[in-house]
Amino acid sequence: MSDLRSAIELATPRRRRWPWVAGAVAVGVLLVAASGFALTRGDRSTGEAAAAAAPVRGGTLQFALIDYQRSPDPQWGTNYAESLIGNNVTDKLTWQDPDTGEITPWLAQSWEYTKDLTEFTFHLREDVTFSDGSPFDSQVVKANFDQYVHGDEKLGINPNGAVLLPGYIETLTPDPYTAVVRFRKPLASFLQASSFTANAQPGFLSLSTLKLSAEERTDPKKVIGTGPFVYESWQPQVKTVLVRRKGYNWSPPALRHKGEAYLDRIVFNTIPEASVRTGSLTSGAVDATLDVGTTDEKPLADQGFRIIHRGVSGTAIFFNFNSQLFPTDDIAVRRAIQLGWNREAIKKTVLTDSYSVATSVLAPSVPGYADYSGSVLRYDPEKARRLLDEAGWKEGPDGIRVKDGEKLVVKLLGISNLVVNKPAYESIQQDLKKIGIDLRLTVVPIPDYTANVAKAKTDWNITAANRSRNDPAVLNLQYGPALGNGSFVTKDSPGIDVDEVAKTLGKLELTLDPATRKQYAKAAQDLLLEKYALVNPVYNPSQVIAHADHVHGIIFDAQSRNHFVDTWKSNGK
Amino acid sequence: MLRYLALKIGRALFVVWAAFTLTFVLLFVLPADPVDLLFDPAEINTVPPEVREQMAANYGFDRPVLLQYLARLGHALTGDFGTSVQSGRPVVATILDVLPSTLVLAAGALALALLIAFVIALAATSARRAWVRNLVEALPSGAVSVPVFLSGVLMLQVFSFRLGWFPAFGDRGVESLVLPLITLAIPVSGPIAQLLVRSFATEFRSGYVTTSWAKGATRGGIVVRDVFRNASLPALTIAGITFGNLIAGSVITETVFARQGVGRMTQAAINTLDVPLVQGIVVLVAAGFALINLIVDLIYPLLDPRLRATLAVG
Amino acid sequence: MTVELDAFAAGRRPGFARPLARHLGGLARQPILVASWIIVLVVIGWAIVPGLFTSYGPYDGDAAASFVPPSAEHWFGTDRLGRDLFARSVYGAQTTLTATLLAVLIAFGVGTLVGLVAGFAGGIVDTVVMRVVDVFLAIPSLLLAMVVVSVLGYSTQNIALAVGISSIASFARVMRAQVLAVVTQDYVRAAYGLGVGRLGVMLRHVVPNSLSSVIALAALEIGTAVLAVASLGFLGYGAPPPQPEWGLLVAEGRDYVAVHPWASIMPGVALAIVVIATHRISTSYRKDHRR
Repeated sequence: MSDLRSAIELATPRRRRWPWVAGAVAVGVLLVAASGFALTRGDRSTGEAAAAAAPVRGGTLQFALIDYQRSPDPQWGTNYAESLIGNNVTDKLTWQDPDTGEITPWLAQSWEYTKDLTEFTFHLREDVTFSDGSPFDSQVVKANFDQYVHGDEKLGINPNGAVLLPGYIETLTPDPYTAVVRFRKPLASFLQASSFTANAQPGFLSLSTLKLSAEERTDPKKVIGTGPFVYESWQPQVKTVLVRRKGYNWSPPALRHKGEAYLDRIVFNTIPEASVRTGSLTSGAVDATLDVGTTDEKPLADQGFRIIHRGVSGTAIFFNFNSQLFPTDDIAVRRAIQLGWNREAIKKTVLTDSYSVATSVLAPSVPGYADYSGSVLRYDPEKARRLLDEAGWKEGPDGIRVKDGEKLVVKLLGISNLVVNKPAYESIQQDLKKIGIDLRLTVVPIPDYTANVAKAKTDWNITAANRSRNDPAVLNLQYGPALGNGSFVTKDSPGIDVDEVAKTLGKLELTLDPATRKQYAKAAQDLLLEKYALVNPVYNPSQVIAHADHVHGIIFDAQSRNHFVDTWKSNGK
Repeated sequence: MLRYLALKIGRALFVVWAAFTLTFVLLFVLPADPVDLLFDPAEINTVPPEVREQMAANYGFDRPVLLQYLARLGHALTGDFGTSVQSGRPVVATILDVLPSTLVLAAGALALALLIAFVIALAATSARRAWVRNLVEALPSGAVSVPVFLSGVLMLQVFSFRLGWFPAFGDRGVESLVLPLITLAIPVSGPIAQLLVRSFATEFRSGYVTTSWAKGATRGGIVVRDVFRNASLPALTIAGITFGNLIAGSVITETVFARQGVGRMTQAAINTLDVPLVQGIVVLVAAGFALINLIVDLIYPLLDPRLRATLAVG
Repeated sequence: MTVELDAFAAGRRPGFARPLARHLGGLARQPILVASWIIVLVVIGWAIVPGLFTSYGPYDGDAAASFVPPSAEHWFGTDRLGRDLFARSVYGAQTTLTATLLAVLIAFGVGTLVGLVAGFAGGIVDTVVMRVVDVFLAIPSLLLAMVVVSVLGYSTQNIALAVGISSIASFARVMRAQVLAVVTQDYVRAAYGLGVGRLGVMLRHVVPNSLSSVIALAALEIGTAVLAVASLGFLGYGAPPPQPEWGLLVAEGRDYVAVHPWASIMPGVALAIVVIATHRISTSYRKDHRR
């Protein structure tokens, strides 16, 4: 209450003397504020660091993040809180190794698929149960996939999985522990989809949950999964609390974790402001925080907090060129933009060690990634200028190039959801101006972005975003002319063979042989980056967690989502 | 009197209906499609058209706009605002869950803002030196010129993270309320203080004060006894604007302090074009606004004898 | 008979003009007023000829000078891309002042007119107009702003337009209350008695005597408008990058507040000082005709 009192003193009339009192109070407040900002925040004891010691059971993990769950239903969601909490409440058929990209067993012990990649047979574990005691079997798989793909209008459940499992026909159940998933056309990426842990994930819900309406699923106690934690409470805007599932014993074998989770409880606290998340960590109010501000990483590390991170798997943050709209219909302009910005400057001013400058349209963690930093994805303003000169772009009076009376103005549409985006784009804007390209930025919140994407074909030269999917087929999803068509490749795109693009990208869905797939992925990247210059990848976004040194074993999976089954606190509190 | 009351209530109902309707129009003027906002923004181009249609049908967004409006209005009249597009929960329950938290914040901030405003007005009126008076009179405009998010973030840095006096987030009763209250009260106090400064000054020059001077009263005594009593009345008159300021300020205060509340819910609902939820919130706010105006209209004549006379005539 | 807001009429006095000489004479005795004038004139100077006040460009990033604290070289420090924050504040004055002025003019112009018409015409016109005003007060200003910005496009002018529109209602209410108070005054009745027409009374007596309180509100609105623009920036609806704008400088700087507090505090303090100075000047006018 004392600052309230000072606020009153600040203005209480005390005859003559009070202005000076008020002044002194004001100066005092400022001094306290200033001294508070001094970087040294006292030393923290690092004696607790005992990473090698045996895990301690028990305790509550206070975790902070920017978003909140809008519904406890794990099969829908578009933000990180939703997918992350869903991952700790439900399990998937398979587990993708975050390092190798290999698909390994989880609820399915083994699997095989037909040669044409339209039928996938999964052999399920037989000891798995839901937290209400009901068994996990092939009927459950069928019921989940059916509702996941088709939705249920009566229950108000959306077809959340329709985008992930295109061409899904049905799931057959030849016996209680065998499930056969059938598709209309080859879908090599389904194997990875069966391990998918990002937005709107295929985590298994009990048959009783599937019968519930969207409204009934907002009662967290009724949302039943097989995961290492179960819901205790859900308070939108504020927090979700999970408690340990008793008897859990089926975490992915690749994690080498036996039995139940170590923690008793996890509290996911929603804290929208970056500085408040950081402050809450340093003051000990939370044990760990996701969504760490880039400028806060170093000071936190200096104070003894651990910074862990994993690049978001899938594409880099990309500038997708509109290949049929002036002036990005000119390949010289597209190439000049690829070459025209200083990667070092962005690395130095905008990114931290947790992030990296993009060296391909795919993130390095995606199987099949190839490095293009030596060819087209490098800073070479001289070459960029030359390309523009050769293509007939002459420098105008204001430094912006002109061709046939039209200025080289490139309009970009981006999303402001990641703090790094705006400064990174502004840095590129500065550099491109030097070579005579006027990059106009419109970086807006998600609703305005989605509204504008609908008009992107005719209105925007560049759309900037990223797509999270740890499988090279993401390129087909994002750029395939019949699918996402991110660069609007049509017969109106000068110099681009639409069929070639469709065929090259489409091949990624046709095989699961690692060597062949790698070859196809390389061909796809060559085409997108070198041959047609359809995309200018900018940086690889990253999920960054800062945690106190008494926290151990937070796992980043292949989609860069976190799992807490193996997490423990050395103080056990 | 009864006719007066009926008229006022009728007007209040009109305002609520018009707000409901106008919001509906505004939401449909916005170029974004609520169905798109249920997907990851990078995925939108990949969503098959039939899936999109199915989802639109799920929420009734595929029906003609006029029918949608009439259906929503019809349900709203029975107190049913439907379910939130985003969470699937009934709108009324969703709002009622977070309403208490916002009410506590707003009521507390209002009380504190009134206190600050009175203190500023008293200081300005009783200050003898002109420059001091001028400086104090400038405080209200200073108060409204400091962005709420900046003052909130700075106070958290100092009082929560450095000094550890108050929790930064979560609900720990009164302790958790102090900083949000101050943050929200500062901008809200601006217009009230501005108004009080002016009316105090006017009262000071009016006849009864001159009489008190003549009787040898002290400056402080006059301020407290006469001016305070008579000049407080006008504070009621900006109740409506103050209510609006509280609502607007709560959006940011609740975000900075990670509090549950109607303000933050409004922002999220608008950002996701959650039509039923926005409609529910707007009706709530409009009803609150109309209610406050109604109360002011009814109370004011009771307090001010001059107006009571007018009322009897009209 | 709505009685709200006639409290703003409290300080009203007939008469508006005042000899300039007396005003200038008074200035010398008021150092704070003089300082306020200097501040406001300097900021207007920033807006007109920014190049005179800083040698840095607002868009010139220097990767080697990211987040330099305030110093003799960089008075406000630098931002993430190494751009001089003082230069960005100086160049931002133009955007911010234009936006603020536009917002206040829209709110003041339209609001005053609406209030005048409602208050003077009375009857059904008054009822209808004031109900519409009530409705606008009841709709979340964020929604209004989002609609304006999303439909008309992202630019500072449109943000100012949105902020202005959402303030029209307050001005209309204050103006109407003023007009109602003035209309009942003896000198207005006297004017009617002397055979002056309705329009004449309105222009000669009602408008001038009602305006002073609305102008006082306008002074406050300057601060409110700057703040509203900043708040929209906080919510993601700011000026398009790389354009500097004060509210946006504060809003974006807050993310770095734990480590680089000057990035938002310096523009924030500058903003508050300018608003207070503007207010001081406007109150000086109000008092002039009070004496």
